[in-house]
Amino acid sequence: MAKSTFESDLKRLEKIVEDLEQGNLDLDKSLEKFEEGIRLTRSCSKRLEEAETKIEILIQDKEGKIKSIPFMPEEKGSVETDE
Amino acid sequence: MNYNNQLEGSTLGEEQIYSVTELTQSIGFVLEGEFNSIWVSGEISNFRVPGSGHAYFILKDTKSQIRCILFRGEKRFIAFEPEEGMEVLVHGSITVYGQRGEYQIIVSAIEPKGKGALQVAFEQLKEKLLKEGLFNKERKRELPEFPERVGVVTSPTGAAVRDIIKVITRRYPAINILLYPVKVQGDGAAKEIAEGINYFNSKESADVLIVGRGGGSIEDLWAFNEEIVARAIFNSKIPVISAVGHEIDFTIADFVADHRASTPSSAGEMAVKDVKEVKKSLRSCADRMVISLTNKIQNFQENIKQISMKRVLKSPLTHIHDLEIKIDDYQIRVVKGVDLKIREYKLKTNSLSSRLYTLSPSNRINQSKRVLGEFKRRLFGTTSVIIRARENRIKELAGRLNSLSPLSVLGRGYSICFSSPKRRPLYSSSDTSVGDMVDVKLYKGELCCKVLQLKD
Repeated sequence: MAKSTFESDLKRLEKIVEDLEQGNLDLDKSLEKFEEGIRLTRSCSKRLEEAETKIEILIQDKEGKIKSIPFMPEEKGSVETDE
Repeated sequence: MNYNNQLEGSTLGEEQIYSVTELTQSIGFVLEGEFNSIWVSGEISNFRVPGSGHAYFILKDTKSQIRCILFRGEKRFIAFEPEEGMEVLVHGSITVYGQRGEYQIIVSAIEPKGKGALQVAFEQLKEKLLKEGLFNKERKRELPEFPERVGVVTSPTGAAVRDIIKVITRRYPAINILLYPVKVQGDGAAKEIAEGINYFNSKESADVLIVGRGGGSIEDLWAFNEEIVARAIFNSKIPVISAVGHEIDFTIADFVADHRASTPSSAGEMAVKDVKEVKKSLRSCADRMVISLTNKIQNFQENIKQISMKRVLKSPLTHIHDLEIKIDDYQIRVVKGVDLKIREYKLKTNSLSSRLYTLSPSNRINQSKRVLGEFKRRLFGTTSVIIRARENRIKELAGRLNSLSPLSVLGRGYSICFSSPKRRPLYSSSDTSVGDMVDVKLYKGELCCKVLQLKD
């Protein structure tokens, strides 16, 4: 499977919920799915809670290499520029 | 009469005699002096651009025509493409071309009549790209539901970048925004914007792109009407949201982009979901799972009950089994049903304990009391958790749900015996035979066991 992203985890979770609601699974399988679902719910919530906002701007360094540094948009009226 | 004298003297009586070149030069002097920097109105005819890159055409009206030359250097500054039959205003100067005895206009500017040059250029490029299929609906891509990184191509100092960042981070704080700073108007702006789009594509360093700027005049927004930007958007593998100017401003970039936002702020709204909505849907997933599983367990419990009714006295173990499932089931209902009343809890625990007394021998009673005590403890703990849950419901729900899993019963010292290798839970010693391998799942880890003897 491809690397787990928030999107793929959420898709998987939705699939599990649907499977459980279908009700065709036996109890063991249901429990297995349920626990996977709970794990996914928890890890998705965790991702939402823990991931930080990161805002960066691309600049060229002296050798002409492009790199990214943290960026804060200027407040209105400010005319300061970096470098 | 001396014929020669007349020629050499260059005068005829009082009158001056010109050579052809002299005359042509004099005419040139008069015309070029008189008709320097003029505007002429007419219709373009016979427009052609040979290899030199200079453009030649005839400007005409119903009765007359005049040759025009538009040199390569000047042609660059004319935004639109002059077309056959187009009514225009031409600015330039008359020159005389002596070798052919012709006069012509050296054109320095052309304006379409009635509309602005930029307007015409806009319509022409729109028409051209439309024909090429750059605006086709079929090629427009969906935006990713949960982008991890949003690439932004705009000015680092404008209001647009502030609005975009503000809206995105407010809606979805778990986000990474990468800004490629560009000029958004003036010389070279279009090239920088296109380079920004290409940069993100070459690095694959964004899941969605926002390309735009705040409002302005058609001249201010012009970079977003240039072909190089349109092509870059078209060629982008990353879906592009255009966000140019205000509601009413439409640019070529808007037509090519996968999605058009009416303002930079609304581009931010398009790019990411509202985290509140996402959390809500996570909650609903958890709720739905609990409900499904509860139903499942209830059905299962029904079955067990029916079987145990028949074998009550023969197999007390079945009762314990039944009881455990029931308790787990109750716990699930407790958490699910926030509205379940304490009195109901008491009723259930009472009837449960009275049942235990009537059914079980003393050691079973002790064991069941322990289980019951555990149940009460959890019940009590859970109700207080429910009150706290209002504040941070999603986190706690997930945590609590885990504790509800019937497998958590293992934490209380029970174990599950599975047939090996099929891993079906064993309910009776008759489910297996001597010499079989079985797996015993404990709270921590598993045991691989061999069956030595079967007992009823």
